[in-house]
Amino acid sequence: MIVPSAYTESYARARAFDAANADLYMRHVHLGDPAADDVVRTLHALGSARRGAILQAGIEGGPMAIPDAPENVREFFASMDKVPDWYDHDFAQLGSRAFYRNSNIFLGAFVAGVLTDGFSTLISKSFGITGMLIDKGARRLQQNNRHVAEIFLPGGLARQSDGWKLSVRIRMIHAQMRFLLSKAEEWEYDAWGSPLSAAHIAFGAATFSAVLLKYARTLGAKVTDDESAAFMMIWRYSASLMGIVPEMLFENEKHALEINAIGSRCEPPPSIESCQLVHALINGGAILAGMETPADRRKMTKLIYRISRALVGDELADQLRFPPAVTFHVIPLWRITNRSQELLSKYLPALMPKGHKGQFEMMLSVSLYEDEGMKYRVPETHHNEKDPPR
Amino acid sequence: MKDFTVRLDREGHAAVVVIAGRLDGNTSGTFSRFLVEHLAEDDVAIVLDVTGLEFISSAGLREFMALLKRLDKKKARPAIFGVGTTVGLALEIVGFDVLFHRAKDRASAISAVSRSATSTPGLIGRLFERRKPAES
Repeated sequence: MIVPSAYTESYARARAFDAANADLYMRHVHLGDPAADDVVRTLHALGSARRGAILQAGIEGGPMAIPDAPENVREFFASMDKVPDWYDHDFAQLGSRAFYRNSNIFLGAFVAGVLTDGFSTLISKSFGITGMLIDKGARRLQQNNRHVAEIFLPGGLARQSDGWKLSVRIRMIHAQMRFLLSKAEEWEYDAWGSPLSAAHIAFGAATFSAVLLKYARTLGAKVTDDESAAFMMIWRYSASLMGIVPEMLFENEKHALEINAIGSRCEPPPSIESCQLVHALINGGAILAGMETPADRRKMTKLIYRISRALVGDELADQLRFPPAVTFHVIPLWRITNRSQELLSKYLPALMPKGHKGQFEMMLSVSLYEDEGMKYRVPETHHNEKDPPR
Repeated sequence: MKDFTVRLDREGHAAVVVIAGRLDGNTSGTFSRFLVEHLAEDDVAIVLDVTGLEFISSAGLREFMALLKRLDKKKARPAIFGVGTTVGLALEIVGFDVLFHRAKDRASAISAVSRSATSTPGLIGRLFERRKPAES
């Protein structure tokens, strides 16, 4: 197996920890998403306008809606219409309840913890070169929040639902970025492997699900075992729609944490792009939280850094050049605050007039909605600043 | 799957908004524009007939939230009836179920919005106000 040069040292250390899983991870560092990559290559030859029309109609209506599209494109959409036999719509309700009952905590865990973990890998090279997350970081966070808001609503992952469509949209954007980066001078295959590799996408899905759950619990969310299993099942289905290759798709929470652990070990220390990305996203989080004045934004950013450091640990926080902070009291304070609010909401709802509705209102305010309906345009260039808004 | 439709029926002072199909990222804009165009500023007795509503996404719930806020400013609360399983679950999970008068049919929904225009719970009632089961 050829190991990209950036991974040489970390991979050797990861093998000493768990050779089989380190090898599995490393085999996928060179791989993208073969099915979606094939579609993107085919569509590229058709030109921008036809590509856009086929993607729009294919995501909205499946193969029947694109009778004139190339056969491999129609087969691709047909393959995604099949619901996996392990996905249970009724059981999913438990995950939906847990998510929306604790959505403020999940949002906090996401911005302060999961983004930091998720972008500390070499995936940051892909996003760093494209500028996708640094330019309009707050907008990208809003898109991400909308995706999560949709997949956790009842019926959100049914074929015609927004959660299903947004999951597939993410897959096609990743495939298009992979295609564009594969032709970019800046991309160093020998050092980094494939842009937006199968390993990175699988690591991301494992982190955005199981690590999110872990951090949310740390911050005080109460989630039962069944709810956790349903939460993971929802994420698993969304991740499969996003194109995680079957060998790297987690089966449950424990498996996802294993993928996250081996990925963290195989990945080299955070690059300068990781630092840039994580800082941009944390600042974007403060903007999304509604902080209007520079002073308020600075205060909120400082708080996010502190919680983030407490969640991800000093080693990663120092590597990412977070400001120094004392954190021993941060998590207990947050847990107490979150538990108190939950109890008040349960027993004296009038003192917590916003309750669940307030949490959902917060989710709406940090998510992206566009009046013209759902659009699935993919980037035209690998430099975000040259691409029209999506 | 039904196409999304929305229409307004007027019954006395009540405005009954009849929604069918899927209220999602593709149709919420249409719904929003419909409300702006068809509801008058002084419409406070509003009923949502969601008997034909198959699915609601967060984009649709966002429009419900906008309507709730608008009415809340006028101390009014809309009524809803015909809530199916998926839509009912979505409303419950995001905490919207307590914000509507849940009614079993059009007549009781209209009656509820007419009553609510004239009475609000007192301090003690509001303090301990808990989730009430739907009539339907």
